[in-house]
Amino acid sequence: MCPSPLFLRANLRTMDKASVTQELTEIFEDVMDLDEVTLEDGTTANDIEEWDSLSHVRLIIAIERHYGIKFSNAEIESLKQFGDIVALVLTKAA
Amino acid sequence: MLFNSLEFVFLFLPFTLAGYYLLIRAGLRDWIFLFLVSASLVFYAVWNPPYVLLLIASMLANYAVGLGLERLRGRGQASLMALGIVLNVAVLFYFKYANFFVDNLNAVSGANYTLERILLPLAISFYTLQQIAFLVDVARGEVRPTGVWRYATFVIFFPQLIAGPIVHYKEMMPQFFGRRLGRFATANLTVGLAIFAIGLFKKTVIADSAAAFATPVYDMAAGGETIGLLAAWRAAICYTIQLYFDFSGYSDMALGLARMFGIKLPPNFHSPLRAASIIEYWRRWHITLQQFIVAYMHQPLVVPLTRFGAERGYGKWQMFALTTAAPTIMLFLVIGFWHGAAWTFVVFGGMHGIYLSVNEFWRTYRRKRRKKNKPGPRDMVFYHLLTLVCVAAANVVFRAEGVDDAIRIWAGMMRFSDLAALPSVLPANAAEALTEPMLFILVAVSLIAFFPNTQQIMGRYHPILGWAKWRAVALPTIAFRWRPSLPWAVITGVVLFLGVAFISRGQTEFIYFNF
Amino acid sequence: MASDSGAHADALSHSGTLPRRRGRFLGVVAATFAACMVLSVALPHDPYIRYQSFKGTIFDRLSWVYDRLYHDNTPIDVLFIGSSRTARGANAAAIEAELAEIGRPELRVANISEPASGMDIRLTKLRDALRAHPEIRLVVLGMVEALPRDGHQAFGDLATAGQVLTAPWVINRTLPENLAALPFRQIELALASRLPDAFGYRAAFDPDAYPGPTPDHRDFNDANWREIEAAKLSSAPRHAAELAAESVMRRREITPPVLPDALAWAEFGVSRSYLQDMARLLEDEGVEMAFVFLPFYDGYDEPLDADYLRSVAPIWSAAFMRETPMNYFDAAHASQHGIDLLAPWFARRIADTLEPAR
Repeated sequence: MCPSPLFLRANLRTMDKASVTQELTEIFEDVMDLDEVTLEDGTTANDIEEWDSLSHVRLIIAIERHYGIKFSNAEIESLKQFGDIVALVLTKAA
Repeated sequence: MLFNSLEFVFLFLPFTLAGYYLLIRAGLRDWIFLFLVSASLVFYAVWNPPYVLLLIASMLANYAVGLGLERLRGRGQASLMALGIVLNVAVLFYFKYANFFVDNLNAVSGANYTLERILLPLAISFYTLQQIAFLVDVARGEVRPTGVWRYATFVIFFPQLIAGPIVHYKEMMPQFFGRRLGRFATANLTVGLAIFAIGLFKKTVIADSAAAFATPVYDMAAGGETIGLLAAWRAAICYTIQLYFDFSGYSDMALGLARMFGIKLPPNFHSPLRAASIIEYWRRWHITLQQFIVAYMHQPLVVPLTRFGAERGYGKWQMFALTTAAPTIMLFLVIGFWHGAAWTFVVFGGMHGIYLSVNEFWRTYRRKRRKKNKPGPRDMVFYHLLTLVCVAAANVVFRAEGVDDAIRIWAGMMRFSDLAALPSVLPANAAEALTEPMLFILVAVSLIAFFPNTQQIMGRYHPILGWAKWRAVALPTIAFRWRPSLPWAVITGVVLFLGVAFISRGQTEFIYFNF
Repeated sequence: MASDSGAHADALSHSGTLPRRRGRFLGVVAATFAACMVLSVALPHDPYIRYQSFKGTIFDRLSWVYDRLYHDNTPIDVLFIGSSRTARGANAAAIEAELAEIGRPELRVANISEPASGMDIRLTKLRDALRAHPEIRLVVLGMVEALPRDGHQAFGDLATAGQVLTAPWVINRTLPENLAALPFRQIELALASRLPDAFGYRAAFDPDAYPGPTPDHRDFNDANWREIEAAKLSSAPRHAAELAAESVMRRREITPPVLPDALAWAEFGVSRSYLQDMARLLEDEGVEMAFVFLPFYDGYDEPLDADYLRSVAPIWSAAFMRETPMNYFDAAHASQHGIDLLAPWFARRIADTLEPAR
C-alpha cells in the first residue's frame, strides 16, 4: 500500500499541483477501494458514495503517512472538497 | 410553553412576531435581540422559572470561556477548552445523571445514599451540546465570539432552544446580523407558516394518534403481562411511527417558526424511515445530533486510533475492529445515555452501535461483489424492511419503562406460535377501522414510504440550511411541491386547522423534551 | 449563508408577483381556517353521545341523566340540580317516600346533580329537562357557601355548540378553552354519532344498564360506600375530630369576594349570569324555583351571598344538621343519618311549595 519512504522523499522535491493531484487520486482509490475515479477540486463527499466520515479519516491518515505530515483535528474537519486536500498537502509538504 | 399549545399559537407567537417586525420597521435593530432573548426567556420560564437562571448562567459562563479561548493559544487554550467542556458536562451530569448514579450505586453496594430528586432542566441536553460545539469551534479558529447579546440570541432563540436542531454559531450569526434581516417578511411568514402547519399536523394528528395505539401495550408490558405477537408488533410499529412524527413534527415546527423570523435552521430529519440501511438511517435521523457526533466526538476519537493502527501496520479487519466497530459502539453507548439516565437508553445505544458496525462490516466485506451485480428491486425492498425492523426493535427499548418490559415485547415479537390462531388483522367493520391500528398503520406507512417529506414539499423555497445537499436525496414516489397558489392556500388552511383543532384532543409533550 | 437566505426569498418574490400576492395567500389560509372552524362547529351529532362522553370521569352519571330525561317517561314534579352535596343529600327515593307519608304520593322527584358547583352546566341540563319533561313544577338548585367564580369544568363538553358560543364573556375564564376545544369536540362527536361502537358509546337506550328513575347517587361515587361509612362512623370521637379538622380547612379555603360589592357582577359574572338565565326561563315556563343550602360540618347557617340569592329565589337552609358529626359522612356530605333527617325536611318544603293539583 505505501511506497518506500526513500522514493517518497525524492518525489517531494518536485511537488506541483498536477503530481499531487495524481498521487492523492491513487491514495483515494486505494483507501476507498475504487477502481477509476475522476477527482476534481470541487468534488465532495456528496459526489462519492464511499466517501463518508469513516473513510475520510482513513484517507487523511493515509495521506499523512504518505507525505510524512500531520493534520490537526480542525484541519481534518475543515477538509470538505478534494481541492482543499490538495491545497493543504501542497502547503504542508512544501 | 409547548409549540402545540393554544397559548403559544394564539398568544405568544403573534405577539413575538409583531414585536419583532415592528422593531425592525422602526429601525431599532439594537433592540431586536434584547427583545428576542427576553421573549425566549419568557417562553422558557412558563415551564420552570428558577431554571431560567441556570440557562442564563450556562450561557454567560460559556461565553466567558469562549472569550478566553479566543485570546489564548497552544497549551493554555487546550486546558481552558478541556475545563469548559468538563464544566458543561459536569452541570449536565449533576442535573441529569446524579439520581441515576446514586440509585445504581445503592442497588449495587447496598448502601443507602440519599439525594433528593433533581428535576431535569428542560433543554439542558441540547444547549449543553450546542455550547460545547461553540467552544470547540472557537478553539479551532472557525468562529470568534462577537458580543454577548449575539451569543445569547444564538443559545436562547426559542424555536431551537428546547430540543434542537443543534445549530452552529457560524451558520446562525450571518443570518441574524446580516443586512437582510427582516426583508421578504411576508414571504418568510408564508413559508414559515406552511412548514409550521405541517409540523403541528404531524404532532397532534399523527403522532398523538400513534401514541393512542402504542401506549396501552407498553403499559401492559410495564404491568408484567405477557405480550402476544400482534400486540408486540403493534407496539413496535406504532411507537416508531409516533417517535418519527413527534420529533420530526417538532423539528418542522422549529424550522417553520425560525423561518417566520427570517431565519433558516439546519434539518434534523430527511425521510430516515425511507432508508435502506442503518448507516443511511443515521445520516437522516436527528441529523444535527449525528453531525455533532461526527465532528466533535467521532473524529477526535478515531483519528488517533487510525494513526495508531497504521503505525502498527494492522491489516484490514484489525483496522476495522479498532477504528470502526469499537469507537462506533462506544460512541453510541454514550449517545444512548445522553438521551436519558436509564439503562434502557444504554441498551438502545448499544443496539444501534452494533447495527452500525455490522452494516459497516457488511459494506466493507461485500464492496467488490456489490459493484458487479447491483442489488435488484427485490433486494432493495428487503433492505428497507430489514432496516425498519431493526429500528423498530431498538425503539421498543427506547420507549419501554425498563429493560425487562422491552424484553417482554421483544419476546412477543418472536411469538410466532401465535400465527396459527391469529385473528384477522383487517378491520371487520367501520368501527374497527378506528379502534384497531391496521388502517392507521397503513396510512402512516404510506406517508413515510411514498410521500415527500416536509422540505421536499417546501422544496421551491429553500426550507432548510444546506438544502442543495439534500434536494436529490430520498426522492418520493409521489411528488408534489407547495406553491403560493390558491389550492395550496386552501390545503395549508385545512392542515393548520386540523393541527390546531387536534391540540384539544389533549396536549402531550414532545418526546424529546425529556432528553 | 446570508446570500443563500436572500436568494430563496428573491426567488419567492419573483415567482409570484409582489408581496401583495403573499398577503392574499395568507388571507386565503386564514379564510380557510375560519371556514373549517364554522363547518366543524356546524357538524351535527346525537346529544345522547355528548351525555355519554364522560365515561371514566367523576361525571359519568351524566349518561344516566340523559336516560332519565329522555328515555324514562316517569313524570318529574320536582327536579334537583346541584353539586355533590345535593346529589347525596337529596335522596329522591327517600324524599318520595316521605312525601307519600304526608299525603302527597303523586309527587315524583328526580335528582340530576353531579359533582362541582359551576352554574353554567345547570342551564344546559335544565333546558334539556324542561324540553323532555314540561310537567316539572319545581326546580331546586343546590348552593354552597359562595357562588363559584368560574364555570363548571364539564360545561365545555356537555353544552351544545350554540351554548358554548353564546356563553357570557364577563370574566369567564373557561370560555377561551371551551371555544378552542369546540372544533375538535364537534368532529369527534359527529364521528362518534356515526360509529358509537368505536368510542364505546351506546347508540340506543339499554334498559339493563339503567338504574331506574331514583338511583342512589352514592352508588355513582363508590360501590363500597356502605363499608366506608361504617368504618368512618365506628368511632364517634375520631369521626368528630376528623370532621372538625376538615371543617377548619374548608373555612380557610373559602376566598371572600376580592372586588367590592359593586363589582360582584363581574367577579361572579358567570354564575350570576346563568342564575338569572335560569330564573328567567323558569318564570317564563311557570315553574317554581328554590335554592337549597346544605352546610358543611360546623359551617355557616346560610350561604355567604344569601342576600343576592334571596333576590332570585327563596333559600332552604339545612342549618339544623351542621353541628352533629353523625349527620356527616365527611365534612361536606351527608351520612345515612343526615339523609334520613333531610328527606322529611325536603318533603315538607316541597309539599308547602306545591299546592295539591285541583
